[in-house]
Amino acid sequence: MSVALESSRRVTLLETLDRVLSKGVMIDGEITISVADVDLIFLGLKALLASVETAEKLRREGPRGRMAEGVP
Amino acid sequence: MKPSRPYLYCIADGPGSPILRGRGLRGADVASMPFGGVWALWSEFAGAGDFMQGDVMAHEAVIELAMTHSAVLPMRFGAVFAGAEAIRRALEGRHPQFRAALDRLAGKVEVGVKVLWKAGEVKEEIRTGGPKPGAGNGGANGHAPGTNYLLGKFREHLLARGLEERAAGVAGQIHGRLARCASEAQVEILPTENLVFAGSYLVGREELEGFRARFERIRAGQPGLRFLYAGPWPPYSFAGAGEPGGEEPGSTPSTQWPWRPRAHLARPWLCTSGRRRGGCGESGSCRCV
Repeated sequence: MSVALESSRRVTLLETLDRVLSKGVMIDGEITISVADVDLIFLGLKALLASVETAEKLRREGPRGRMAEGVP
Repeated sequence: MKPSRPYLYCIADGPGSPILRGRGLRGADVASMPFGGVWALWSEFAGAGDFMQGDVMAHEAVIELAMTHSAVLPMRFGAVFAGAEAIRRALEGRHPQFRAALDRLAGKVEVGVKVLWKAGEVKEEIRTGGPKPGAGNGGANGHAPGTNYLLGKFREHLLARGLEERAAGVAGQIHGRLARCASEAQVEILPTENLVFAGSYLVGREELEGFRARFERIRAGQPGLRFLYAGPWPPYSFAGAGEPGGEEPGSTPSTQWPWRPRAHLARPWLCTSGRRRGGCGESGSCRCV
């Protein structure tokens, strides 16, 4: 895989997670099992997210705005 | 074994499509629940509390497929309900908002634009060009440690303010030009030091080409900045028809342009929204230069 393609995929993944996890409609009455954790991630993170699991790890390490640095 | 519960992907303007069969979370079939001319697209999900990255991608994939057939209001990831009846109640209780939002978003998609700079270099410019606290009275070195500390804090404050003001200026120029080519727009200024702004734009499908051309022209004229263009996406940022305490569709956002820099950088979740009628003109180029 070329570096450019890899970078492009990382950006796409980041953009996808940024939207899917932090935007969109929320409805009263949803069961928010574990979703509260997802929200917490985005309160402090704005980071390069390789995965939700990685985001959890980053959150435990402490919130840092690393998104911009992570963008290739 | 965990109980299976309904997982909601989006509210749609149509009943979905057979192509959604087997495309839900963990390969589930996506079903549609009608109510008064709107449909909830959902599937059974047994893994609540144990989401994986693949689930996030499946959520997005279902909505992207659905939006090829009808207008959609994408749910935020993780919308698990106690049962199908709870989804039906949500459809019933918010039907007018869902209907209005679907009408508003029909034929439109979301585009994301991010503009980046090297904050360290910008700060250095501000540092060398801005006011010098302590200058003219012997400088900080002649002061007591407490005074030096406060002067240092003051410099940090000036630097942060300077960065905010510059970001607001850049965003006002670039975001403003893009927003004039969009039906609606939102901007978040300086979410991190290196990210000047993150803009979201609601653009008609037939105007996408013109919007992209506008973006490329702006990018070409700003060699010192880096640009990221992403989309088209489902309208995540503009579908706020169900957020508790959130803005109803079409309402005026609480923060208006021009953006005023605040005294600190903490959570500058500032949005502005510009609405305009009509398209970006013909021949793939915006007329609202």
